[in-house]
Amino acid sequence: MHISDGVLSPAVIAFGWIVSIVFIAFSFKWAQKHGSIAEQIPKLSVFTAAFFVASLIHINVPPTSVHLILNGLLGVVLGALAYPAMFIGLVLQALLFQHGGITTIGINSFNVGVPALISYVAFRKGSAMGLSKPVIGGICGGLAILLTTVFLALVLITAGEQFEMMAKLVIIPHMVIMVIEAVITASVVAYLAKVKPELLPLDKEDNK
Amino acid sequence: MRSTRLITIAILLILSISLMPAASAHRCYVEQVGADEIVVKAFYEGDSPMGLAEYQILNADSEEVLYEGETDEDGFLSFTPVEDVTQYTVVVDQFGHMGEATISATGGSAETAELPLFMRIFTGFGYLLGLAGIAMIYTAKKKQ
Repeated sequence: MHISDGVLSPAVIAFGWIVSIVFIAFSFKWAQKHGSIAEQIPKLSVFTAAFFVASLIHINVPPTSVHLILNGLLGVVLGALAYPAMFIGLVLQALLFQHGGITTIGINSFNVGVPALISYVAFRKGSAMGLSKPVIGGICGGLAILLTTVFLALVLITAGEQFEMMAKLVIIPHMVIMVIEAVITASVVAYLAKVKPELLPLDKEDNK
Repeated sequence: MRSTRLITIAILLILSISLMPAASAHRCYVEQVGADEIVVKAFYEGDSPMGLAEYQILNADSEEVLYEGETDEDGFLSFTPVEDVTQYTVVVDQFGHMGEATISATGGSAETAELPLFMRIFTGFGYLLGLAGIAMIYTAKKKQ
């Protein structure tokens, strides 16, 4: 899921950085509007740590190998702050694990960050409609992975890859991850909704 | 404090995940495993093969492309050494995951020394803790 240095064209790399910087600025604005950022820091750190190690847990799907991403979970639990959280996680992964390149941190953040934001919006809308939180959380967890693989495939097509190969090596193997992350997100949301509902960004707004 | 307990449990869970011996990453390795015909294996951390990945073999000195192709299902590729070329750069790319190694015609690829995986995980947690600390100091100052 991490694109290495030297694969993409400079235009795509520049696009990734610009969009990421804009989204990070936007997400801090959003967080300031929705309560104190200071209160969010412990939650933010814990979930960034989870994201940071998630890519070490991989599953063999011959002829390739896929790993957990957890962007749907971060989107649902952190809201817009998932974007800067994953940006930091990706920087650490690139520096310490050599997962992905340095120049591609921008576009890699875009590939996981935008689906996380979409998941968050979907989770909010779904909850407002009165659907069960764990169910909608699970769907959002899976949706984020699907969107990430589609984004990744589109980005790699700009680098000259063919769509059929992308479908075979990226989208289909990640179906396994989609199911696993749907279950993880549903369980975390079910647990938080029961034990500490105010940790979900959504409930705070509902309470207001 | 419920939230402190929750966060402690979460940290412990993450730590226990990161200490699993089977934990392995998506870092790419490219390593020579044969000599006569040069056989190269491309794999991710944790030994899962980079099957059906595109590769390029270059002359390490002139950067001229000598061979191009796709690895087999088990991540292997092989090529016949070219006369007068002693160092080859092998680049393997699977949907943006790219591994690279320089190998010599006499066999073996250069390995670089680095910290063990669990040390790198703890380094990452250290950075996150530091960042959280800085962010807390910053937000506390703002409040005053």
